[in-house]
This record gives sequence, C-alpha cells and structure tokens, in this order.
Amino acid sequence: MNAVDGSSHVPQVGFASELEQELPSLLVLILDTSPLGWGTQSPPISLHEAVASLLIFINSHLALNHSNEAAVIASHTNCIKYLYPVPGEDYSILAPKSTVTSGTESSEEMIPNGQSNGDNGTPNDASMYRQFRVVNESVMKQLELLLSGTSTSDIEHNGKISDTTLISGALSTSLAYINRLVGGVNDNGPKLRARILVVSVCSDLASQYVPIMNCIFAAQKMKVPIDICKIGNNTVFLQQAADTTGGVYMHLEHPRGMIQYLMTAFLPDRALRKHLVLPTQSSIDFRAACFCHKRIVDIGYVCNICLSIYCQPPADGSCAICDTIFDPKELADLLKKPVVVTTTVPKTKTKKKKKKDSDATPNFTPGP
Amino acid sequence: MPRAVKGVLVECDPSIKALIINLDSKNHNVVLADLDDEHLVIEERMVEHVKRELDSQLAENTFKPAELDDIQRK
Amino acid sequence: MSIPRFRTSINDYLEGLPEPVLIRLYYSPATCLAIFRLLPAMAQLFIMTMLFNDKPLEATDLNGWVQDGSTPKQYEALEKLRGMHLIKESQGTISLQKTFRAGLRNALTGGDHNNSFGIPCNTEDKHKVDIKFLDEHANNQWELILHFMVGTDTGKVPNNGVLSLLRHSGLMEGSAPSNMLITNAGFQFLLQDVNAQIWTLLLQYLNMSEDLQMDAVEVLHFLFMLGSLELGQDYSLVALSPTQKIMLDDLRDYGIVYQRKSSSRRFYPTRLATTLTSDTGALLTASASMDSAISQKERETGFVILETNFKVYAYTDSPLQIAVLNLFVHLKSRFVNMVAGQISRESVRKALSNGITADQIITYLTVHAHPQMRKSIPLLPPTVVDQIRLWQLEMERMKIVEGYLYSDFSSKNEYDVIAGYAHDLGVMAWEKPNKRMFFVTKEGNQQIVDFVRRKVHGGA
Repeated sequence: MNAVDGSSHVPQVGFASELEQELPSLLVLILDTSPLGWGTQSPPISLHEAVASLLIFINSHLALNHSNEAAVIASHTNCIKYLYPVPGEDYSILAPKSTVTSGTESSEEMIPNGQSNGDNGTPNDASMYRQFRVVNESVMKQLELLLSGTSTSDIEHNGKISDTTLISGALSTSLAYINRLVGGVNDNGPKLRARILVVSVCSDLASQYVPIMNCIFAAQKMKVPIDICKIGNNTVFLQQAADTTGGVYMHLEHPRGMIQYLMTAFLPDRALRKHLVLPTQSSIDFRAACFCHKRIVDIGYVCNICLSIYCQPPADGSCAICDTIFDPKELADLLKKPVVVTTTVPKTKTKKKKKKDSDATPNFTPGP
Repeated sequence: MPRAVKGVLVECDPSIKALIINLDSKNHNVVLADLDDEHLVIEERMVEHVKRELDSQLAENTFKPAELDDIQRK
Repeated sequence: MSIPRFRTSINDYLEGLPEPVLIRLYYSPATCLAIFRLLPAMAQLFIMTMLFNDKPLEATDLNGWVQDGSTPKQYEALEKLRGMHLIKESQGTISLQKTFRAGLRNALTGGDHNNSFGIPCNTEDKHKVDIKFLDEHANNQWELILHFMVGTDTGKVPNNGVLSLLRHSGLMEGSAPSNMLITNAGFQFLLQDVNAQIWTLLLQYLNMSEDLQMDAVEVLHFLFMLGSLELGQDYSLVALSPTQKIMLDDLRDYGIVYQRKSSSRRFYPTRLATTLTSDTGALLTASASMDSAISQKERETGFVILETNFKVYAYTDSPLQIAVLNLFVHLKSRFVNMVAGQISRESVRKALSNGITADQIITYLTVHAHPQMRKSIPLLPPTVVDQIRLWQLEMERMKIVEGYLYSDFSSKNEYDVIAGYAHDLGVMAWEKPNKRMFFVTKEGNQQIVDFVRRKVHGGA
C-alpha cells in the first residue's frame, strides 16, 4: 500500500566518501640495519629500541583496517632480506607453536611480543592479535638471523668498516613487491594503496646514486610515495626521494620519541593525507653525485650528450657512459687553473676567450 | 500573528498533483493548501486513501505486455 | 551495499550505550581494537596521536593539523569520538579515555593479560577437526536457518533459540515452527551477504540478551573476541564467563562456532566467526571469498546470467537461491541444474512492495553474476539496470512529511525571523518567502510555537 510513497527509502547520506577511504593500504617498511650506522648515533637509540617502536607502528597500521598489509625489508651492509613476509612461508596456516629464541636484550618490556614469557614452548597467544603476532614474530626472528649471521668480513669494505647500506636494492625489491601485489592479477582496479617508509641511519649513499635515482623515478611513476624517517645526519638523496614522490621526510631530532613521530607523521595513509597538513621540508638538498668518483658535488661537469655528471673532466677525454669523445682543446681549457694576474687588462682577455670556447661543440659545460 | 495548520506535506511531480486535485474535486476533503506545482498540503487522515487511489489509478494507466498476461492466466 | 549498513548499525548500537557500559567494554583489548576499526580514518589518526603521548593534546593544535577544507571531517571525527566517550575534553585540551588508552596500547604491544584474544587449547584434541569440516559445519547450520526462512522443506527445523531470535528480530512471524512466515524485513535480510546477515542477527541477539538479563558487555566482548580468533585453532572455555558459555550454545546453533558436544571443554571458531570484524574485506572479496568458502557446491560464486531482454538464467539447484530469485523474477521453467525466468515490471513491483529496493536487486545480480557475465563491461546490461531503477522511481511518486503549515504572517520581518529560526533548527521542509508561507516537520513544531509565543509576547 505504501508503494506510491518513496519517503521510506530515502538514500542515506555520507556514504560515498567513506567508500573512497575504504581502500586498504600496503606499507613496505625498509629498515636500515647497518651496524655502524646504529652504533654511532648521538643522541643514541639502539636498533632494539627502534625496532620496538617500529613493530608497534606496524601493528597500528594493521589495526587501521582489517585488510591493511605490511612488508618489512632489511637493508643491510651487503645484502637485503625480507623480514616479513619471508618468501616461501605460508602465514595463512596456523603459526607453529614455538616462539623465537629470546634475544639477549629482550628484557625490555616494550618488545611487543610474547617472547619473554614464551620460553616454555607454549606462547601466550591470547595476549596478542594474530595478525600482529605473525608479523612481529617473523620480524624479530629474521632480524636475529640476519644479525647473528653477519661477520666482520661482511661489513668490511676495502679494509675499513663500511657504514653504507643497500638502500637502492631494498627500494627496488619493495617496488617489485608492490607491483606484484597491487598491479597484479586483479583487473577491477587497484585493490591496495601502497607506500614505502624508509628508516635510515646511514649518511653515505653516494655510491648508489644512479640506482637510487632510478628507484625514485620508478616509484614516482607507480604513484608510490616514499616516506623517509631519518635518524642521524641528513642524507642527500633520500630528501629528493620524499620530495619527488610526494612522501614525508622527517629528521628525528629526538630519536627516543620515535613512536610519536611515527604515529603522527607516518601513519596516515594516502587518502587521509589529503586532509592533513603534514611536515614539509623547508629546503631540499638537490645535489647529485658524480659518476666517476661517487662524490657529492655542488658544481660539476655535465656531458652534453648523455647528461652524466662528473666532478672533474674525465682523464681519457671521453664520457664514461656514452663514449662521446670530447674536444681535447675544450678539456684543456676547462682544466686551466685560474691565472693570478695583477693587472686588469689581461683578465678581461681571458674571460672573453672562455666565452668564445664554450660556444663550440662538442664541449663540456660546467653544470650544477 | 501567524497561523499554523496541521497537515501532511506532499512532494510530487505535477502529474501526480493533478491526480490528487482530481480526487479532491469530489468532496473537497483532501487538499488543505495548494502550495506550488510540486507541493501540496493534505489532510492527515486522508493519506492512506490518497495512496490507495493513486496506486490503482497508476496501475490502470500502465501498458502490460501480452506475454505477462499469459503468465497470469496460467 | 550491505556493509555500510552493518557499520552504521553496530556503531549506532555502541553510541547508544551509556558511558559506564562503554568504559567496561574498553577493558578488553580485543574490543578496543575492534571498536577502533569501526571509526572513521580521521578519528583513528587522532587516537593514534594521543595514544603514546603523555601530554593532553591542545584542541587548537588539531585545527592547524587538518587542512582548511577538511574541517567538516575533523568535526565528524571528534563528534564520533565524543559519542563513544573515547575522549575527554577540558579547558581546550583533549585526552584519551584512560581505559581505552590502556586497552588499545595493550592490543598493539601485546601486553594484554585479560586473554581477550582467546586462549588456545594446549592439549591435543582427540577429535580434531580440519578447516574444511568447519566450513561445512558453518555452511550447514547457516543454510538451515536460511532454508527455514524461505520455507524449503528440508525436514529439519532450527533450534528454539534460533526460532525465537527470528521472531524477535521481526524477520519471521508466527508462533509455532509450522506456521512461521517470512516478513518483508526477512526478504531484505535474504538479499544481504552472509557477513551482513550474521551481524543483523547478532545485533538482534544483543537486543534480546538485554531482555534475558544477559550482560551486554560480556556479549560484546565475546563477539569481538571471536572476530580476532584463528580459523582451525581450538580454544579453551576456561576464560569464558557463565554468560559467554550460554552464548556459545546459541552461537553453535548459528554455525558461528563448532563444539563437538555441549559438554566439550573446547570450541572451534568457524569462518563465520573469524570474518566477523573483517568488514571491509577489500571491496567484494570478503563476501565473495566467504561465499566460495562457504558453499562447496558453488565454487564459482556467480551463477546468474542476465540478458538485455530481461531474461534470467540461473545455474543453480539450491532451493534457497531459487527462492531468493523468485522474490524479483518471474520464474518460468526449471531444469535439473538451472532455472529460467524473466524480470518484469510486475515481478519487480512485487519485490519493491515487499520492501526490497532496486539497489538491493542490482547488487544481488552483480554479486552473483556468472563468470561469463564478468567479461562484459558494464557487468549488467545497462538497459535492465536502468529499467529496474525506473520501476522503483515509478513506485515512488510522492514523498510525504507530516507537520504544520505556517501562513498569514503580518510582516516580512516577522516571517524572516521565524523562518530563520526554523532553518537554524533544521526543521524546515518547504518554504516560499514571497507568499510568506512555510512548512515545518512535526518534531520541530513545538519549538516554533514556543518561539512565536515568546516573540509575540516579548514584542507586545
């Protein structure tokens, strides 16, 4: 009888906006595990404390939405390693009823893991949500394996202890992982929104300039923001990574309060970030590294054919990347030391000469 | 001093409004106020009657494909 | 979609609870986590910011943090948090409710000693069951209820607990199992996906439990705990309260948990339980995977083919699915493995007058579309979809609002003042300033009358 009356099912309001947010997100966390990097922090924060905060952060990320996913990749001095998910392991079946062997430092109560009381073979499973437990146990166990398997020879490089870390490898691995999960089989649009968070302690990454930049551009193309959580000295290329991909770059002034930084700045997913005022970088270090000696340069030389950057004109007179042979005369001019002159007349003369030379091709122009 | 009248506001398209006015034309006991092309105020106790009448009138005015009649005959 | 409906209803239920009850709820970390997941994203973020910060948050800090254009979202989030009594506000600062803060912290750090995530049995079950068995069990129990609702003759009748729940929730009417009939609400219920159906029943169960003197807090604790359990794991009854043990019996009848016999000291959650709180489930996948998991017969979820000429072919022999289709399709012929029929104005009108909406029909057809249909874009023929919507519009030719018509204002000023007040109250249904007339809803009328009296008397 009420058929002619439409007032009973007036559509509910505020509906579409929620659906838009519902898309779950994938967080790939890249953890820099370089021993020297963590050892030289001041004010100090141990890897252990940082991992505790990060695990809580991952739990929080998983707590936001049931379908949220996370992956953790360690970027070590000489290798990278999936801490979670470990390739070949199936997490959908029951977790084995054994816990990781307690680490030496596990007396800290912040460790979000039942491991401190789990030594009798029956973990206190009830204390933690299953999804969290799987990730946390896997990360702790794999990290332990990674660190205990690291010998001094692994971190030594040419006789001295290297403080570098394979960020480029970790970035490309995570991009591949994201591509597999997001751009994969499902044909009705992306089912996940992905982002990368890099926790970095190393300052020297110049040797990986080219691969890192390639990763940054790949991420930009895939619309994957790279967030940087930086402990210790600022690193040139990571600032650029965050800037180019639209991620957040944050340098932790007080690493001990890491959890609060993580929760406030890095937790919101891409849908929510549109509504927030997030920390931005006032100045970004756009410097590049030269291709010849991997030095970071303010002003360098750029090959006018392939745009490769050099800190000094190549010794053999040709570009190491594209084999363009430069005009020897030009190179000689570039290598000229400034002439100390006493009178003003010859000075103008040299200037003129330089200008004329720079018009000739192929030449070698100083670039930023 | 404004005046308040209790009633039921009906929002509908002009064709339905015409039908309601037509119902009203017999006894003048339905419509309280004719507001504009798409709004009327009607007597509260007549709401069910109006709905019933409209339903039957609309049903009369719909074309039914022959096939459906077949089904109904079976 | 049925999922947001569940969201709002469980949210509404929680918001309707008084503060002391809510605070008791927050003692369980599993509940804190489940409730946290029900909140809008912005509210979640506010909570996370305050969770590990010992100092209260300045309310003005929030304004600086949220983009100017998104202030409504900020207010919406804060409103939600207030409604759930999750935040305390004093002198311009905001802090988290203490119990909730501790509960959520425990959930995230694993420092929970309440066993709110369930205690797994540490002894081997002699009669161990596997996941396949659990799925079948859940499927059988649940379909028994659905079959009973559509009146399929299976020779079995659900337990009294189920029957009284169906009656109490208004999904069926009638006093004895033999004369119980499905209601309009029941038809709508059938068109929802399994997860939404379960929540509909569980919410009714909550309402009913209050009448039965059961503690709503314990019931909710148990429900939220079930959502966090692991499929295929057996759990011990040790930590359950007496109320929760009674509940277990009822939930067993719905197929949400499995117990070999009621005296057993352990129970297994089924897939119906473990997916309880996974509401969003990545678009359709939760319900789709649920469907495929739950019915071994229909591994391929879709079985309905809809043609542009309104003909429907459904490859199913399930009496339940046929009964559901019969709600809005003229079924003409039935074969061993399929039925054929036609969607017509009459059949859709019949469904609409049963309270089923056009959107529900379209969602049903989309979810159950045959894999063959999934190749075409859009999935359903637009002509049919449009026509079903048009039929609904045709049914809804008028909207009615009860209330009062105001007229005969003495001056434009008087009209403006009173009409402005009605606007502020949000009770204005229709207005025409040049005729000096407006219509307010029944609910708002008294306030307008009072306002007019004050104005007139105050002015005179």
